[in-house]
Amino acid sequence: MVFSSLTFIYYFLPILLILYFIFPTKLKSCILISMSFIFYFYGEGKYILILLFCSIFNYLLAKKVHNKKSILIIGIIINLLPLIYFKYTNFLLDNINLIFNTKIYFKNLIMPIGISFFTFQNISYLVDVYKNKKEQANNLFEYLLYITFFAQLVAGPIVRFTDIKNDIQTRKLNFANLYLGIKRFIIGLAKKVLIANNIGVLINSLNSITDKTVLLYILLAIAYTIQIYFDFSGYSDMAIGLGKMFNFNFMENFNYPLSAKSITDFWRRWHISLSSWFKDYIYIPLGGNRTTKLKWFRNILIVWALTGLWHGASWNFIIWGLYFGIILIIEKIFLKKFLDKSKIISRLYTTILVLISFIIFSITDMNELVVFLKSMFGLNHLPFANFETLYYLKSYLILIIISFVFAYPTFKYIEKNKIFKIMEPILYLFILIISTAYLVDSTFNPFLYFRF
Amino acid sequence: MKEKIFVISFMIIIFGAFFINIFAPKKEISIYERRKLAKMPEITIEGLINKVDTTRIDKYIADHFLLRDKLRSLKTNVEFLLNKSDVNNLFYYDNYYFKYEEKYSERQIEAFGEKINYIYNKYFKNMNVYYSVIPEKNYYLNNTKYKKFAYNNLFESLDNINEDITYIDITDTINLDSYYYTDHHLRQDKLIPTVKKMASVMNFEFTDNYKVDIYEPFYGAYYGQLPIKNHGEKLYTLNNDVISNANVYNIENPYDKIYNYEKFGTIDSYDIFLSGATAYEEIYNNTTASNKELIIFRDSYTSSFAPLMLNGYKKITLLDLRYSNLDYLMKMVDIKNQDILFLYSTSLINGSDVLRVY
Repeated sequence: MVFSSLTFIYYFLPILLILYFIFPTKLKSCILISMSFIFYFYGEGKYILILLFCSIFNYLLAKKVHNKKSILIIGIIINLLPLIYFKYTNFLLDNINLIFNTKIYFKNLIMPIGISFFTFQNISYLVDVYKNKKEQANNLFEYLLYITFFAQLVAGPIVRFTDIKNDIQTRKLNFANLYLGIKRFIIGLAKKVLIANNIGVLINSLNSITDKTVLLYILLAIAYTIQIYFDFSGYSDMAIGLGKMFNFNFMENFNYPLSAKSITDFWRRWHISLSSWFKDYIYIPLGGNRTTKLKWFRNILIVWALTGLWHGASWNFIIWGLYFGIILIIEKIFLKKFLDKSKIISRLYTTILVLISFIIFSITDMNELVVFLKSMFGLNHLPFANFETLYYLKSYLILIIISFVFAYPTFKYIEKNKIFKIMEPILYLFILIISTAYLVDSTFNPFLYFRF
Repeated sequence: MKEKIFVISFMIIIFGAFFINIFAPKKEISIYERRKLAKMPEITIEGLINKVDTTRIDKYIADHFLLRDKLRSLKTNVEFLLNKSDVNNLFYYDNYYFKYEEKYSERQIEAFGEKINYIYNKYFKNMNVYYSVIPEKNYYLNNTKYKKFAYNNLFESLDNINEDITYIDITDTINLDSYYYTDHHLRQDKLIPTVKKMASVMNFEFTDNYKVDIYEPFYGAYYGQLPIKNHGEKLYTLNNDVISNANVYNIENPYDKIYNYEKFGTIDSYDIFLSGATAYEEIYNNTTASNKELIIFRDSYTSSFAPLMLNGYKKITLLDLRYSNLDYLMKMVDIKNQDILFLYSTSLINGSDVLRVY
C-alpha cells in the first residue's frame, strides 16, 4: 500500500484511527503493529514472513550481541543476506557473465518493498546494542513496532531505535501532534501527487518525442531532478507526518537540498537519515578523516560507492555514488573555500552538478547516458529547440516554477505571513481535496524510492 | 482552537468519505466516462499475495469514490489553471473537445494503402471502386498553440493506392462545425454536402430532403475523458421515408431499423446509428426501384454516412475489418456489380494494423 492512494487515506487510515481510539492504551502498540503488517501485506503479501523473520531474529540476536564482535559480524552478515539475494544476485551474475563470458542466469527476483530500509534499521540496532546494552528494546513488541511501523517501513526515514525509544513507549494521541502530523502529511501528499506524478507525465512525454533538441535534454534533466526530489521528500514528509500523528518524532530527511551551496552542503540536506547512517556505521568505523589523507579519500570513496550501490543494483548507481565521492574530495581539498566566497556561483555550480547527478541516477544504460550528457551540452549537433519541446515547456512552465518555489526555503517565509496563518487550515484541506481529485483520476503511481 | 477545527475537519473528510464510500449504492456504468465501472473482486489469499486482488480493490475504490465525476472535473480544471496545453492528450478550444492523434506512423499509413490494393486486386478488379478519407476534427483546428498532426503527409502517403481506385476528396465539404463538440464523430445533419459530392463522383441518386430529429443530452467520447463541462450537447439524426422504411440486417444485433433509439443514453449514444459498428451489416432500401448496390469498408464514422447514401441504392453492405477477417466477411458477400467504397478516418489509417486483411 502506498500513502498516496485512496485506499490508504480513505480506508486504512480511518480504520486505524477508529481502532486506535477504541482500544485501551496498553493495546495501542499492538494495534499499530498489526495494522503495519496489514499495510505491508497489502503491498507485498508474499514477503511478509521475511519481514517478520528478520525482525524477530534480530531482536533475539541483539540480546546476546553486547560486546561480542563475532556475534555482531554474524548478525550483520545474516541481515545482509536477504538484501544481497533479492537486490544484487542478478547484478552480480550479469557482471560474472560479462567478465568470464559465461551464461549463468537466475530467476527474475522481485525485491521485497522496503528491504533496504528495514535491513539498515536492523543493522543499526544490532551495532548500537553491541556498543551499549542500554539501547536494547524492552520486549519484542517494542522492537516490532520500531521495525514494522508502517509510517517508516517501506521508504524511511532510516530511524535509529535510540531516537524513538521514548516515542515507542509513550502511546498518546493529542490535537497538537495530530495538527502538525496531518499538515505535514498533506504537504507530502501534494508533493507526490501534484508535483512528482505530473512531472513524471512530462518525462514520459519528452521521452516519446522523436525529434530531440538541446532544450529537450535540459528540460528532462530539470524534470528528473524535480521528480526525484518531490517524490522522495514527499514520501518522507508523509512518513514524518503520520509518525507525528501517532506520537513518533522521526528525524528530518530533507532540508531544501536544491538550495545547497556546495555538494558537501547538498548531502547535509539530502536523504539525511541515509547519509548519517553511512557516516556512523561505515565511514567512522573505517577511520573517517582521522587518518592519513590517502586513507581518508579511500574511506570517502568506499562510502559513496556503497551509497550508490544501496540505491540500486546497476553500474549507473555506483557511478552516481562515486561521482559525488570525487566531487566531495575535490571540495574538501580546495574548492569549498572558493565556493564560500560567492553565493551565486556556488548555487549555480551545485545546481548544475546535481542536475547531472540525477541524469546519471535516472539512466541505467551507459551509452544512453553519454548521448544524454553530450546532447544536453549541445555537443551532438542537435537544434536548440523545436515546436514540440517548446509546447511541453509552455505546458509545464508554471508547474516547474511552482516546484522550484517549494524546493527552496521560500515556503518558510510564506508560512510566517499573517494572512497565510489565518487561511492555513482551509488551504491545507483544499490541497487534500485537489490531491484526492488527482488520485481518483489517476492510475497507480508507486514511489520511486520503493525500488531501493 | 485553529488546531482543533483543522483536525476535526480532516477527520470529517476522511471518515465521511470512508462511510459514504462503503454504504453508498454502487453504479455499474459511468455514462460520462462511457465505460463499465470496476466490480469488487472476490478476495482470495492467493489473489492478495499475488497483488491481483489489491490492484483490483484499488481500481474499485477509485471507480466508486464519492463525487468521482466532480473530482475528475476539479482535477481537469486545476490542470488548465496551471496552463497545461492538454490533459491526457485532450484539450478544449472554442467549445470543442479535441484529442491528439496517435504518433504519426508512416509504416501503418503505407500498410493501409497496401491493404486497400490487396482487397481490390483480390475481389474487386475492374469494378467501380472509390476511397475517401474522413479527417479527424484536429484537421480543421486553426490555432498554432496546439500540435498539428502531419495530415498533409498522410494524404500524400496514400499515393501508393492503385490509380484505378478513384479518390473522393471530401475535406472541402467539412469544417469544424461539422463535428460534435464532445465527440470525434461528424454530425449527420452536416454531412449533406459531403454525401452530395460523393453522389456526384459515384453517380448515385442524392437527396437533401430530410427531417432533423434532436436527442439530448449527448455525451461524446471525449466528454468523460476531459470533464470540464457539466452538460451534454445535442445529437442529430436525419430522417425521411427511405430511412424510416429501410431494414437492417445486423449480424450481431437483431434490431432491424437504421436508428436504434434504445441506444441513446447508454454507454455510447452514438450507437443510435445502425446500432453501432459491427463486422457485417446490410441495409435495404424498400422504397426504390433501383438495383444498384454498394459495399462500404468502414469504421465507426460510416454509421452516420451510410443512411444518407441509401437514397441511391437498393442495398448497402457494410464490412468492418476491425472486427472480422476479410476472407471470412467476403464469404457473405455475393459479388455482382456493386459500387465499392473504402471510407476510413485518418486515425484509423494511422493505426491500420487493426484491419484484418491478410
